[in-house]
Amino acid sequence: MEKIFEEFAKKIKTKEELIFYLEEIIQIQQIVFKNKGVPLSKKMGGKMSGELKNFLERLEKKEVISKTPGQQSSFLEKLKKYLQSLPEIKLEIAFLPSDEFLTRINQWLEEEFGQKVILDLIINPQIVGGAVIEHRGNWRNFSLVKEIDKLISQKSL
Amino acid sequence: MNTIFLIIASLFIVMVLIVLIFLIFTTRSKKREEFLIQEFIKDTLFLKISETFQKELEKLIKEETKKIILENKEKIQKATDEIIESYKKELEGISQEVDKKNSQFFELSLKAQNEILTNAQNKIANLNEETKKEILKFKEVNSETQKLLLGEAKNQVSKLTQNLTQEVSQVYQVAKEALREQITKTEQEIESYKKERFKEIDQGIYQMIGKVSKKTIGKAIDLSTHEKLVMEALKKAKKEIF
Repeated sequence: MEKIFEEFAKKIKTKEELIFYLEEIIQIQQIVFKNKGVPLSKKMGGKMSGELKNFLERLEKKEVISKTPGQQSSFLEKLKKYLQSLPEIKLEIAFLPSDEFLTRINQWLEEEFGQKVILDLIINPQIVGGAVIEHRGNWRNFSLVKEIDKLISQKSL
Repeated sequence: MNTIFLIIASLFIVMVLIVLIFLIFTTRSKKREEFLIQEFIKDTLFLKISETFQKELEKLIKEETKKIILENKEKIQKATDEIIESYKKELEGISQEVDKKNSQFFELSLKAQNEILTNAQNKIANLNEETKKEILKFKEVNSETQKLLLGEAKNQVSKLTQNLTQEVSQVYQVAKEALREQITKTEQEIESYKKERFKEIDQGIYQMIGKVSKKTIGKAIDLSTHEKLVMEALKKAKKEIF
């Protein structure tokens, strides 16, 4: 099951996306016991995102998700807990990154951590360049603004 | 008891004796008086006078007394006139004497006055001559002392001026030194103030440069550079915190 969840988690890069999917899962959980016998992917109708819908459809075809509401609910709960347990890194940068760059960062982080890591992305042009990074309470400022301030203070002394 | 009785008896006897003596004395004085009256009566004749006679007598006495009084008045007046005359004569004589003495005294006093005047004039003349001499002497002495004083004053003045110039030069030196020190101190203060101000200005300039560079560098950096910087930051973070 974890590998299935990992496969879904690969699509999620940022915390914003994670929150979006979690909210969708919560919404599905609310209607899971309605329309018994209807597949989970169809219970939301057009209100579900494409990614989640495709994921659920695939699993339904493989019969990983059963049609009973109880098991559906249990599946959704496990998925939710898995997604919530994913590690996070807060990354503050000065520009709006492209999808490709985000993918590259995610891949790099997966290689380093050996697992999926979610990026809590903050766009702050005032740091000029570089990044401010926080992970599990550890915080480091590798921004350009820090270097500029350092240089200016050295010159002014 | 016997002694008391004796005392009382003796006192009684004494009192009786005193009374007897008093009675004797009073009777004797009465007898004396009566004797004198009788003696007087013996030597004088007593006549009975009538009222008309009494009146006539009184009138007569009055007239006689008036006469006597007038006579006495005349006598007294006469006596007093004589006394006054005699005193007048005496006074005239005395005043003549006095006039005489006055004229003598006046002559004498005139004479004395003239003598005194002449003496005084002589003495004044002598005094004038002497004072003239004294003045001359004094003038000589004065001129000599003046010369001496002038000489001394010149010496003192020259000494004073020398001392004064020395002191003034000392004061000048001290003031100059103090001024020099003040100038140096002020220059140092100005220098340090300049440094401080330049430092402040430099700091302001650098801060301005910092602000401007943050704005411009942020806009000047391209996307690939940004991505490169982020990856470098992640790699540094991996070493330090991951």
